[in-house]
Amino acid sequence: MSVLVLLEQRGELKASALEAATAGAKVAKATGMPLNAVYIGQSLGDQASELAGFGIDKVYAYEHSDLGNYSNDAYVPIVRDLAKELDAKVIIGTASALGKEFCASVAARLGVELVQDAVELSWDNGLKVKKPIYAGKVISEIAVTGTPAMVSLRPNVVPVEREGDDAAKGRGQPEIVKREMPDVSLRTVLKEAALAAAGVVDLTEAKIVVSGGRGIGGPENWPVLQGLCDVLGAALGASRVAVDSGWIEHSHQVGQTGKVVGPDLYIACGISGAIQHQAGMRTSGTVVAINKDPEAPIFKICDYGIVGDLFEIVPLLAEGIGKVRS
Amino acid sequence: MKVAVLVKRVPDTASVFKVAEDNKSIVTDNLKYVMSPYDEIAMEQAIRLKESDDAEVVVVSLGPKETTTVMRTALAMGGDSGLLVTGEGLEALTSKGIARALAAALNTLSPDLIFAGKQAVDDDASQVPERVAELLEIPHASVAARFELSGESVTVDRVIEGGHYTLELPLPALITAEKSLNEPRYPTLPNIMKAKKKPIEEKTLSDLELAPEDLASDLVVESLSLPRQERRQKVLEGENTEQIAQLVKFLGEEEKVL
Amino acid sequence: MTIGSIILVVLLAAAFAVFFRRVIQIVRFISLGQGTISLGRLVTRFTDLVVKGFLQRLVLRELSGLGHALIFWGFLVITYGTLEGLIAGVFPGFSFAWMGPIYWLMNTCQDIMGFLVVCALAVSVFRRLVLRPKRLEATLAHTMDALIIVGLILVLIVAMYAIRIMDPRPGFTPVAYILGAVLLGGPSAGPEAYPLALPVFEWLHNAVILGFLVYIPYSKHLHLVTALPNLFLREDRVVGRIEKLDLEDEEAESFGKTKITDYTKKDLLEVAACTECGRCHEACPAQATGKPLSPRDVVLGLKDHLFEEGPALLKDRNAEMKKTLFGDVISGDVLWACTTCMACEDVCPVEIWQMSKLFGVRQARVLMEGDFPEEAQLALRNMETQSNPWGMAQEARADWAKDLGIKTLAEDAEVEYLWYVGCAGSYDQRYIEVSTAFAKLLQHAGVSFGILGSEEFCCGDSAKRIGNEYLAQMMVQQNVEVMNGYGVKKIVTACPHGFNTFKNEYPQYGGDYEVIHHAELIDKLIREGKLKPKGKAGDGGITYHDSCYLGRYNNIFDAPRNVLKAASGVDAVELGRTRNKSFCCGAGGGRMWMEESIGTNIYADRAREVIDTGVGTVATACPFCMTMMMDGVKDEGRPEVKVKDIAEIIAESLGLTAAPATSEPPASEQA
Repeated sequence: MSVLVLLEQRGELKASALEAATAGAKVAKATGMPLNAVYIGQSLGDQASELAGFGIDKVYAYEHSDLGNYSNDAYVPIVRDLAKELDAKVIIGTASALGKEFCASVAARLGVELVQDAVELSWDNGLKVKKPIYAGKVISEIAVTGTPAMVSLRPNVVPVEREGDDAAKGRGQPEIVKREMPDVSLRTVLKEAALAAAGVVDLTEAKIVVSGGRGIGGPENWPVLQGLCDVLGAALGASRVAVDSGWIEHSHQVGQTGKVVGPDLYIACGISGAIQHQAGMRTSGTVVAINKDPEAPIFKICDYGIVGDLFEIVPLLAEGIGKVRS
Repeated sequence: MKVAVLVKRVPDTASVFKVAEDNKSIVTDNLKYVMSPYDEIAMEQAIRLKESDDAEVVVVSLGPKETTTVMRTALAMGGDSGLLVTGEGLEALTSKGIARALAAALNTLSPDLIFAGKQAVDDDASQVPERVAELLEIPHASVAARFELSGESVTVDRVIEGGHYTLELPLPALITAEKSLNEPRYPTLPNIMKAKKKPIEEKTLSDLELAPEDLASDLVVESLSLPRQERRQKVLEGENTEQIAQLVKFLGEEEKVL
Repeated sequence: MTIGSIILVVLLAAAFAVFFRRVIQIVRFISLGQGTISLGRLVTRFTDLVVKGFLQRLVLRELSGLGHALIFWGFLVITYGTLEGLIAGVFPGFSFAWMGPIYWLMNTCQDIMGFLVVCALAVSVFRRLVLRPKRLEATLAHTMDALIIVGLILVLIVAMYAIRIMDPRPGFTPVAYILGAVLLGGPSAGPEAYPLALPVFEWLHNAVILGFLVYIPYSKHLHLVTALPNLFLREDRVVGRIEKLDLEDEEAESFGKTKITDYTKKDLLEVAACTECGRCHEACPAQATGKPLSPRDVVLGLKDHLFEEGPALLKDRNAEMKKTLFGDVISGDVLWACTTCMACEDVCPVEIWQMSKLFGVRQARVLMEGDFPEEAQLALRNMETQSNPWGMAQEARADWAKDLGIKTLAEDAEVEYLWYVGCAGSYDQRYIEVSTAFAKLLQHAGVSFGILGSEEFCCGDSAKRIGNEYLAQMMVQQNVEVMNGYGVKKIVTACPHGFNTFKNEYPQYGGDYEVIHHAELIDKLIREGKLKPKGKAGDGGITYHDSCYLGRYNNIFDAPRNVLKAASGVDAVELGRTRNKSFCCGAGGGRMWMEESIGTNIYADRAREVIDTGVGTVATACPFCMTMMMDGVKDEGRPEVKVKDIAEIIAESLGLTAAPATSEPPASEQA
């Protein structure tokens, strides 16, 4: 019996791997099962110290230069076989773009259920998972009755928690069990791993969008918003007025005649929020409005509003968020 | 070549959702149904292959009889025929079972290429296409933002956080679509009319030689709840610095978006 | 008969042969069109022919039309003398003198009209070459065409006077007299005194006629042949209605206009009747703001296309054409620039329906090819799914009204009016304020009304105007079913687009209701004393922007003005381009859902006009116009100029900001 955590890496261990470990630790405590983790990548190296303090028994490290980038054909059999070997009862992965495909493939190979994109998980005589459905308008609480129960955890919802304080790092380190990369034929070939230009996030699927409208005043003022985008890892959007005035390209336009976006967080700066714009961002999770005009319609459709000059507010906001994030 | 596209009939997410009395399902009375948006993108990609490489496109789905309305839309985009898994025993299926049923259906078609949307916007399960590919033992890549067919293999740009992987997969393969892959076409009237006459084959689970035990589910929806439906409309007050501090706190702790 | 006669007869025969051959060819081109030309309502037709044609009523709607009227009447009058001259050319010595007093009269008229025609021609050349107004802006070829005609007429008149100087006719002929005095130094010595000059001018006169005969059917003066028949054969239509397409027709090869032969015979007659006056060119808001769309050029393009493809098509109806209707003749930019404001059709002196011709191509592109500006796709999908262009939940359509004590028809269908709130009125924050104001007015006045709430579907106007007849029909049928289900008899609505389609188009789908616009209803309530505005609203002045679909389409100009006068005590300031000459806000024709990327913004043009009046408030009666005006004043940096619906203005002037009453008429308010 075991709880097994899939550690997401991209060169380095991602924060989401530690979040999964936190969740795994809670389940392990509640069930009394040992907690194990699997790392598949180029080299775990000294990152192993990051894995201290979660109560992980063993980290099975499959290290190979060919395993640096995710490969379905290589990764999935590893976890399938390891899960069987450890008699894993609960498997926790990450609901990242790759993580979801990974978990789905493993679940298929094991013939078990999988709940993707969980925002909360706990153990109560079985694995209980909460996840958003219908574009986040409904929350579903699911009990997974079969085993192993697989779940992928949405990044950034479970705060990383270790036993003891930072000084405990170095103590309570898991045992690293090195494993060989199994012999598999790779059907899919990775031709190129491309990283997008730094700071440029695609608008359509971005999780956070910061948009500017009439209040921006001119093309030279975008850097004010871009600063906030950089801190948040957000995409830059614009209202029709800003695009029409020639201040930014049409590809940034959010609205009825531009792009429809549904990020978790939408920050509208100097945008009046008329219905044509609303049509493009209405389904956003949380809407923040910053506008000089207290009568602007955007304040009726926002969650949080600040009446003020965006040129003063936005830099302060970027600063405030920067502190929290670091 | 033969291309299959998996489509799903889902409620339009702009609808108002209410939880039914049993607390485990949503009220369906006034819901409007559409083809899941990512499936439309998958369908569009298949039609482009039909136009460039003379592919035959089969629309595949699973659900009650009403699902055919959505399949007709797919056929109106340019699909040639449809295959619907319908009949008894479908409501209890989870992704696991749905994938088994679809895989069995696809086996009767032997497609060279399968397209699907990356996730259905009702349950956001995000796993049926990958499961289908694993059951069919074919290579797959999800969240494709670019697609190219060259002979017996396909090349896709598969989106990851901060960039993409360019992958080459041998056929037969399964690809799931994400938003930037293409812009689905608007069906023309002649095609809508023609679609009414295109064949949609129906198969039940027993036609596919699947017994309910094969498809048993191991998870249960215990309850559904509605997070806040209205916007908070909370206009902050105080000095700029105070307001910023409040906002950062709300975003971090209440909304958990930071 | 003399040698001259014989030559003249031969030349005449040849000229007529060329003329008729061409005219017959053109008639055959026109008959390549669909359908038949109907001839009912003969009395109306003859009246129209006389009033609009011969009395030039449509031409005279503008001052510059006086020039044409003079030239036209002058030409008719001069034709008398021309005929005399031609017959005399064949049978020397012939004259109409035997007509006695009539002859005297006609000579008088010719003398005076000849002079007036020359004046008119001079002015027209001055306008075309020196003043260069927008409507005379044309290519070199078209300008030369016009100038050739001017030249020919001038030569004709010069010849006419020359002849009459040398060979005077009985009548009061001061012009000939004065010219004679100047050129001959005195009265004529009689025709025999000019054995060379007279025949030369007589021949010149006849030659010009021959030249005309040959030139007319190949120039813009083809309208001499086609304009009057076009006026006579005008079809009866409901203005504002785009005819329902029979999409069930299995025999139909295509829907909308995909090729020139898809147009009806009447359509093709119309394009052949274009006078190139340029009034539509000048009136078009798209043209005024730099788009390539010119209704005149669309019509002329269709004419040229017909004439070019005609010969091959006459041999084989299915012959391959040299040019494509969409693409070569009408480009995408031209097609989609149209806001369907109908300024073009309203202003045409020969009653050509330019907009409908363009619109047919739009329907074909959307229905047959799914080809339309990409950004409109979202609006269409949303209309199909949630029955409004923004995709808001249909279930939430009545949320705006929940605290206002308004009943739905589901709760009580025994009301006088169905108030059709519309998409904007239900979902757009700004227009919900208008709905709220109107609701308060209705309740205050004790009007019996109800709304459909979440049973209300989008009226279908935007879908129809984008060209998607299929989607529009689905939406209309849904509404008709619900409305007929409740036994709706009267509908009041604040949106001119909804108003227009309910009134003029819904009857084709089984929905026959008495439809009134909120401006008319408010006007009526004020006149009946049920609303008593205090006449103090609108400090800083109010101006009114006529919405195309309310004004030009449905002739509702006065009701909103009456309302504004009652609200403010004074007449609203009239904009320069007012009433049926109102300049479109740019949102019609489905353009509300599209980007405007060529030229300058139509709404900005109108906003500048409004701002230039210096008023504090511009009143509108349409949600599209309001949205465009609001953007317009902001863009021009004048956000303090208020944009208000007339319902809001009245509600404010009545102080209706208190808690809402119920839908029941309060006892104290009952008349």
